[in-house]
Amino acid sequence: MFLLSLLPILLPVLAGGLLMLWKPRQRVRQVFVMSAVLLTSALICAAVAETDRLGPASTACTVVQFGRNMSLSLRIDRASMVFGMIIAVLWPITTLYAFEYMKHETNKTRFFGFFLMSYGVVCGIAFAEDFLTLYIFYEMLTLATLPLVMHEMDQKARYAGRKYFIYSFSGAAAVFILLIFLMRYGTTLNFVYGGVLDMAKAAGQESSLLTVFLVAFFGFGVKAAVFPVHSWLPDAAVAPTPVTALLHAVAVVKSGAFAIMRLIYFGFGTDFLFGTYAQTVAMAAAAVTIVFGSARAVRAQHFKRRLAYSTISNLSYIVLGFAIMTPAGLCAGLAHMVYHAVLKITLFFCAGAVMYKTGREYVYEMYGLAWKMPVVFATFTVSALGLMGIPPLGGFVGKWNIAVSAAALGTAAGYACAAALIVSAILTVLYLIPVSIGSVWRQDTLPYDEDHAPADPNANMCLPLLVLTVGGVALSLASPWLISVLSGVAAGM
Amino acid sequence: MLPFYHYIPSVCILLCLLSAILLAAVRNGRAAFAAGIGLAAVTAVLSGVLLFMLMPAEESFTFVMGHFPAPFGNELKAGPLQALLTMCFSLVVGLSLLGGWADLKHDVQPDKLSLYFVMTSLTLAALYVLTYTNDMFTGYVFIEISTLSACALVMAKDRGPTLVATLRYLFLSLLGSGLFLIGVVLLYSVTGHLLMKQVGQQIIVLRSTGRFGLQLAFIIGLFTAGLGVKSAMFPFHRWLPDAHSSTTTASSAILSGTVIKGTVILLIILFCRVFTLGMVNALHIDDVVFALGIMGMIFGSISAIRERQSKRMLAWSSIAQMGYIFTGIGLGTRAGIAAACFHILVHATSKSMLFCCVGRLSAVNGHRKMLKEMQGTARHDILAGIGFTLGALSMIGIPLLAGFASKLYLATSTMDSASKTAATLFALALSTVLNALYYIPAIVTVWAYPEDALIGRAPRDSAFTVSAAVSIAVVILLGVAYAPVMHIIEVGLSLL
Amino acid sequence: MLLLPLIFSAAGGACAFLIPKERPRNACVMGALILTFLSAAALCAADLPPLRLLSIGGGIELTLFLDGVARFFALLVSGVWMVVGPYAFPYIRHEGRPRRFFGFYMLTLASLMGLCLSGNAVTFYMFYELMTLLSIPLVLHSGAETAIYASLKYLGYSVLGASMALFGLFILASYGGAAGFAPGGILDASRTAGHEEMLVRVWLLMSLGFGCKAGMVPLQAWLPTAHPAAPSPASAVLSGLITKAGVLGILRVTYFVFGPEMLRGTSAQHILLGLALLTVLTGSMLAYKERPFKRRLAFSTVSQVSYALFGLFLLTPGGVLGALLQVFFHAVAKNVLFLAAGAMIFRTGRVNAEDYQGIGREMPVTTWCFAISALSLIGIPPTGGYFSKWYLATSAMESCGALGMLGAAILLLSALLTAGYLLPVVARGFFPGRDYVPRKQEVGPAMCAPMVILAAAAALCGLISGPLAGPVAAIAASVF
Repeated sequence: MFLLSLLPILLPVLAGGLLMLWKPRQRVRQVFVMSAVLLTSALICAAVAETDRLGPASTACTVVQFGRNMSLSLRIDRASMVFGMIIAVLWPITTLYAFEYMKHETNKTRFFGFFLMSYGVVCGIAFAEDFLTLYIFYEMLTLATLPLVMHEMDQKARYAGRKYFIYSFSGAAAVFILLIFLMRYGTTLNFVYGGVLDMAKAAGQESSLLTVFLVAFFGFGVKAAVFPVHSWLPDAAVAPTPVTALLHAVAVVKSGAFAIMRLIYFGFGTDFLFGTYAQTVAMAAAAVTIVFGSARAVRAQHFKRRLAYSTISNLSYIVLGFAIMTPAGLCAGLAHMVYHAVLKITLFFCAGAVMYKTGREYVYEMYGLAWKMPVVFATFTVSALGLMGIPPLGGFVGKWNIAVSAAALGTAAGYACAAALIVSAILTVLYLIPVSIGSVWRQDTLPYDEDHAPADPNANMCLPLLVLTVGGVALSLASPWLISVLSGVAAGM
Repeated sequence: MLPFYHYIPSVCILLCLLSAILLAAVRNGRAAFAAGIGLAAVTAVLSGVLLFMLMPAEESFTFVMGHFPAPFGNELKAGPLQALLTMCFSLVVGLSLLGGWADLKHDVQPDKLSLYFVMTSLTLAALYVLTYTNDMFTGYVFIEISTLSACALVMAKDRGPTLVATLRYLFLSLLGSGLFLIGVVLLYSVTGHLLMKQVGQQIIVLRSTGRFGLQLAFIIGLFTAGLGVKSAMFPFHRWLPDAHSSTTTASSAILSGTVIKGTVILLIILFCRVFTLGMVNALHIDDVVFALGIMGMIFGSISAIRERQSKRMLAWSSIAQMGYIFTGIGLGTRAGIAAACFHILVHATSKSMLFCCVGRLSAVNGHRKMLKEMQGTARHDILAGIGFTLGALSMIGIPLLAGFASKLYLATSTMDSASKTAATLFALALSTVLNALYYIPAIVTVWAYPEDALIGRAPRDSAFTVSAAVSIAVVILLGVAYAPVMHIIEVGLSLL
Repeated sequence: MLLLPLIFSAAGGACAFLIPKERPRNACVMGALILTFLSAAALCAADLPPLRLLSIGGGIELTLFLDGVARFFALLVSGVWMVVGPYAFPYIRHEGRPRRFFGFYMLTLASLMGLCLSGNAVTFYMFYELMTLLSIPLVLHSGAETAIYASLKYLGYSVLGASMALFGLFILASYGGAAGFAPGGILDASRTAGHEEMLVRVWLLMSLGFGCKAGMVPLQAWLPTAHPAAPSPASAVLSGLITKAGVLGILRVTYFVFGPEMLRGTSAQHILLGLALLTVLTGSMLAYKERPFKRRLAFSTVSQVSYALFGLFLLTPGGVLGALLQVFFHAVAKNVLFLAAGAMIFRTGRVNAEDYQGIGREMPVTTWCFAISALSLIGIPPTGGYFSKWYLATSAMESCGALGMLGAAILLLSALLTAGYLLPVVARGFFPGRDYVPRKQEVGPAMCAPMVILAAAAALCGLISGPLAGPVAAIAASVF
């Protein structure tokens, strides 16, 4: 068990480092990277399966013991399993896509090296047992993904990278404060469902603890792109598409949301937070982000930036679900985490495929392309329908559950949040459907040369697109099963 | 007959002084280098042995120098904390010399090389005395010796800017030690003693009379200011960037890593042993130090952001890091001082490693020190690149590295002082980000692909390799196994 | 079994996309239309239990079920859709891109079938959104800038309306509102106690949302833009049937989710009645002013559908009866009007309503069908429209006091206006004046037959109203 939790983290990190030192040629490199990714995914699945089999008998694994009650330890609980499975499934698919996409790029060794290392680090975040471990991997995530954001090394990439690390380090500095307070006012730093606050020590300090909660909320919220600390994400859209898709639509931002979940349910505990002004602030921030993200997405003409703003908005659906602070809200937030990951990665891959084949980046350059790139735009449309929340597709399941649990609170804040979701749903249609419509019904009038002729990309890209779309639909149809699993998580297993 | 380890402190000091004298006669630079390294190694081992002997029993002892017992003679006070600190200093000096040896050969005139090592021996001696001394005036004497040797270290690379820097350093240092001397004199006139223990007892008596409050405050203020000048406490820091950056690598490392720490340790000893923390709190000296520490933390980093030359950037970073130490002291609690001591260890090891790596990286490109001229140099010497990266990340406070542990301790220790908690935490958070703002671009620069062709590979430097490897190991070790180290510090503080 | 109408129409849509040659494709499509109608008719006779399609996580079930209302709407929609089919074949052959048109034509029918047979509010919402998305290509068909603009406006408004309804659903979910449809309401009485005021406001919101599709003020602005932009067969079904989806939505929500007891006499009801009447009046007035023919008919739709909404908001059996009859007769009549307008534009190329001098001589069949339907729409006995409007007016006066009287008055005024904007076309068509040269240019039988059938239905169902009114009255009563 010890090894099974540790290896999925250690293996990709070491593999990434080895890759960067060794610098093999393309073929060998591709085989190496894919094997490392697949092996890690297999290990994660094995770890999850083993934990499931052991049930309550599964143990934590202490990697490094720093002091009396400070350690870097790993423990797989149900929430870890959910997050772990998401990345285990999505990473290999992205790797395949990345092989094709990075063909025209330089510095591939560095790219894949840090790509592998990020895998290990995200897995560390998923498997962390306590806040210190989470914090350590959180900092590492910024460091591991920074070279990926700055990959192009041109002016825009450097600016994006700078913004990214400033925001991320500020967020992490806020989380550091959380650590200190938990060490003082908590019984332990471990994740315990229901919270770890020592009520005896915390009595009388509620207002400062609530302040610390909000500080940590926005600290983790940097990675989760909560307004107003979201603005690194649209700029990071200049990174190569596999990075924006996987990392900034799935791994990094979901890590932020995951960490917020840990903060609320396993750190302070909903008993302490429910009904306080801090909860209202958190819900309000999420609601504002939901509307803000969608509104900016409608205005954005750059395709990937539009999707980046969409990510900001959708992440806050998840954060809202968590901020509702009921088991229903937790379950709903996790559901949307799963569905959004699959849907958004597909959308980004479509945008990336268009950019890769034709070099076109703006929405108004997509007119008429559906006839020449049918696979890309068909998968785009299906996933867009999912994201818009057309039942019975996945996006609806998440949104419905979040909105219903918000409305079920019965307070004005709850209704306002449900209204925000509705506004965002409308805006989502407005920023996604016109792309599909334009790609079919409008004419492609842009000139292009041979290298940039629009056509469907090869199997390395199309296969991931199809697998993800079909998988997304299948997962939507299996939503009762997923919801029951997540309800188990929400019940504290 | 005293147990053998009681002799260790004095033996170390005498060894340092002796080697200083002997090395003056040596002509061969290489031999002097070997002797310098050997001295550092021997003293490090001896201090380690002392620590090992003192820790289990948790004892400290007073060693009488000469044959005159107190209150007339000279005394040393040794405890686990002092042993740890001196061991660290020896290690750092040794590693700095190893790491900067190539640059020394490049910067210093060959016939003056052995004199350099005379100065390092003297510096080491001064550090030992400042840590172990139990006598105020001895402290003053060795402060002066340390000033002079440090100036010599700065001057080793005699170019124009270096000379200017040295002079400025000299003037300000003399000002500082002058203030210290006045303080000693005043203290002597009020208490009639020079040995710390006796002085302390007298002060307690004086306090109880309630009449000497102002004088004592003034004296403490003099000590703080005097030692603060030497340790680059805000606002007395202006000399540091020029001095530490214009000189050769080994000097920068030794100065930033150890010399500015020695006087801080003396200040800590004064606060704990002579004046007692309670009094310092009551007179609000700690608040002043706290405020100055915070300002140093912030302004040091802000100025570092503006720097384009790598060593000046590191020098400003040193000012900021000293701010951490002063903040810890300024908390006025045992825990805060313990955190400050831990940070002394952290900064000594990390900053010396940083300077050595920067020296090596710039050597790859013809000794050019501007950051953009160092683009891509890490690819030619991977170990230097890794060392620089880890050192920089440690300064930022990334977990698993030394700097994180000291941040952690500093933050947890503020939780006891309610009024200073918010300011400290906020300053720590801000400082982390500010540090990242200049370290991360530097890391990116050294690893990025160079735009113009570099001058080329510098020849292999095995001394540097050894130094870098050991430093990296120490920084990681301090980051992971910090609990035992902190325990030693806490025990040592209680026995101070 | 319940799925059959959907399966047939979806299969027809797939065929339309896949078969390249015209004749086999048209045959398939027609076959699918007929099968859909027949299966809908079979459902009317049969008595089937509800069918669970899919469970969605979170305790939602997508179900189909069959009750009087479902039967009525399913039969009406599939019937008219089938009749319009043959008209569309030659029309679209002329317009171009037939595969796309018929594909989405059939798929829209499938979604409408699903809508009619929906068993609970969430299923209804799903088919509602699908219907919007699938009918957008119909509006977009010509690919012109105006069509694209019109379709985006349609999309925007529809999504806004549907989202308002969804918001209401979010709130109702905690009170049991997503569980199904039952006459008298499905909300869990124990949970709703004490929250009535808020729930009534939710009802108002949902009605406004569904009312968007039905063209009710304040969300009606898309309709006059979108309906004319589509090709005429599509305009016909948009105006005639897809707007009824909104009516069905309001019907289901008001009577089968909330239940009229909860809503009667509230200020929300009065607001909605007022809005319906306002729509009736302004729709007619604006139609009177419009010169482009299809826009005139679109405004007419806005006005006429709100007659049905008015009836629904009265919350009495008589009102529901009037509404259902209005739905039927308006569907039939408006389809004819649009088909006729389409034929006229198709043949003569003239777009404005004044330009149809002598069209009665040129296209007699078309113009006669137009005339009969116009009479039905105005409400002149013995054509069908008279009955629906009669029931509406009488129920209004019976139930609602002052507002009812006002309602009846407005209905009358609107009838006058309707005459004002429809009859002149007929008049000029048959009596063109002295200097005029007729050219016979009637449209082919494929296009004539549907118009004739529907016009005949409008007339006959008015003359022999018994067989229609009986079952519909039963359905109306079953709603309570």
